[in-house]
Amino acid sequence: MKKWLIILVVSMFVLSVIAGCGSSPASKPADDKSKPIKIGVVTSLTGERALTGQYSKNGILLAIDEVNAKGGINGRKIEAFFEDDGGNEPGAVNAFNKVVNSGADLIIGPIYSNMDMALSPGIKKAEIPTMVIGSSNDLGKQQNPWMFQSRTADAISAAAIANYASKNLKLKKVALLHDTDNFATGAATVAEKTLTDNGTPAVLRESYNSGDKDFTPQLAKIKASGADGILAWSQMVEAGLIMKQMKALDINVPLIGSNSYITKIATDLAKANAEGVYSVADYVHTSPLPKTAEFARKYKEKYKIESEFNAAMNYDAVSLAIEAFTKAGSTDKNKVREALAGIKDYVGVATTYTFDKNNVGGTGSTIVQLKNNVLTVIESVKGR
Amino acid sequence: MALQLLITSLAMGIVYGMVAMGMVLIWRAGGIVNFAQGELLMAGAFISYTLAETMGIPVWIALVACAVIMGLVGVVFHFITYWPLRNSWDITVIISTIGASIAMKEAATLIWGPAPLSVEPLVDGVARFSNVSIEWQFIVTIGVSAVLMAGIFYLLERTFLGHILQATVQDQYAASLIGIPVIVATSLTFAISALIAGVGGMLLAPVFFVTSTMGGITGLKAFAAVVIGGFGSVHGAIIGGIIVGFVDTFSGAYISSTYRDAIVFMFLIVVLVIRPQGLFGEKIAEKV
Repeated sequence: MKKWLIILVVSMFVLSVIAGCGSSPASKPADDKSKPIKIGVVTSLTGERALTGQYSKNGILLAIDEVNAKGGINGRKIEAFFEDDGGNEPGAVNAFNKVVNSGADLIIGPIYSNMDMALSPGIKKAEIPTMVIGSSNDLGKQQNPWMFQSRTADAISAAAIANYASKNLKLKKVALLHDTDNFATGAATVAEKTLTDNGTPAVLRESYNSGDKDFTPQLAKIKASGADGILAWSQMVEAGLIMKQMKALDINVPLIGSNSYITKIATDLAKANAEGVYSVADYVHTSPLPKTAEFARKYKEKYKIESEFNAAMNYDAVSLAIEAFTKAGSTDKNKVREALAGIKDYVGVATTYTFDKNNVGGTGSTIVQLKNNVLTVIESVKGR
Repeated sequence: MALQLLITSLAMGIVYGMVAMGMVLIWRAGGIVNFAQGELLMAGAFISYTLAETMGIPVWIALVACAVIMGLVGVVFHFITYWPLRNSWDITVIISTIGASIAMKEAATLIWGPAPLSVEPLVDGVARFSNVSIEWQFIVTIGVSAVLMAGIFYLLERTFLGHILQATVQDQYAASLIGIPVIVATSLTFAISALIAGVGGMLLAPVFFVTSTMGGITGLKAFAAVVIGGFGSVHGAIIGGIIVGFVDTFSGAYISSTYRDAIVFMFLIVVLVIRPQGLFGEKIAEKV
């Protein structure tokens, strides 16, 4: 009996070695023109951020379907595959490694700066061009040659928020309220400095943790401080809750929020309490710009729901990737990286993209207000 | 500002207390900690959405219907996570509840979608007196929870059924010898436990919206409430919940809003150091 077992194990071992040898010569060369171009995506398909993942996936698939319908890039179709980051940093790193091992030609990373920061060392090591969509200033500071921030950095949008508050709305005692994640903390710091430079320093800076539900302590403090305006950086559910709880606490001062505040999710949750909220937005679905309006129409047609910034930013990331693949004329990683770095004045759905020496792409944002439940564009801010 | 915070923290505390009470009941019945208690709260919130928003049932009737459905959910939960594993190690059952919590969260995302949902409150609007304003739903939450908990307290301590449940808790073998059907008693306990957590979810749904993650931190804070109140003590869990609610809200306002969760759990550690058995717990000495 024992002898048979040994024979079995040995023969299995030998067979597996032979099988391994057989498959290795068949492995494809670096740039096989007959195969589709593979874009790997790290996004939140499950967990607390599954919602943003859904929008992101929709935006990516819309862009890919469009280019494939036109015959692809130089005759090659594009194929996306998605790995779930579970909504947290360790999950993002695992998902990224899986995507790398599946042989992606280009990778699209999460919209959360925290996760993008966690991926940065891996991106550098993998040497695969990766578009990240977080807005933190720290992403550019990494000076990672393989990481491209296809988003307007907070240095621009947070300064725009602060300038609008002190210069246009003439607010003198502004309170800051923000999530403790990388994006919101960084943005609040930029805004705080801008407010001080404008001669109207913030009266109070309050923060909360992602996923918090009850903002009574923070809002009660803001109310007691006599603030005449609130600047806030949040994710969507928290944005809805803050708008609702502000009104419940009878705080009736202008609120200028990050992009999440005017997403359909947040305004649907807050209902009438969202009326009058300002936001500095990457993307507005009611924008009159032709390319933006066309995207908004197509998205609604395909998915039967209004688009928002997660969808738009990911759509732009794919569009930028397509632009780079076309210019590079191959999927050679170095050529694609150089093509991406060379992109100038590319008009996207959300903003115009020009990659600077730190690979930061987005150049501006838009200040909007929700009036009578319609998003109204107030002004466009050109950052650089 | 203090009065404002007082009412909010009482409402939050009483919900933590409800979830904690559910945990204690299961602890007493099966000797295990149910880490899916927060997800039972989440399930209650989603079911209330389906009843009140999708089907359009009047909210107060929906509240009762939600309680009944959650009772059934509790029985199903009992037969999946506890009953088949009752004779194995405690740790096996605890892991099975952790598994159930993940499965329930993802199932909710599959059924109701990833977008957060909003539910109409039982009483709409904002109550104002002097310089304090508070959503009516908070006041309703305090009222409904107090009545429900008092009812369950009465059921357990004063009725024949309650005595049967308690007998099963004390010694399952002895209870079965005197003819108590243990399977009915434990599943009934799970039903009550799921029912109170679910009603808590329905009460929270209009103020905090319904998301698949709403149970996570609530469950953890309820667990802190159970430990502070003393394991196994029903009134300890309720008082522990209210204490957690107060520490949570007031530390957020007066110490640091960023570290309020950390402060709650620091407080838990301090209680454990000073009084390891909790406020109302009995000293547990392991028999060797």
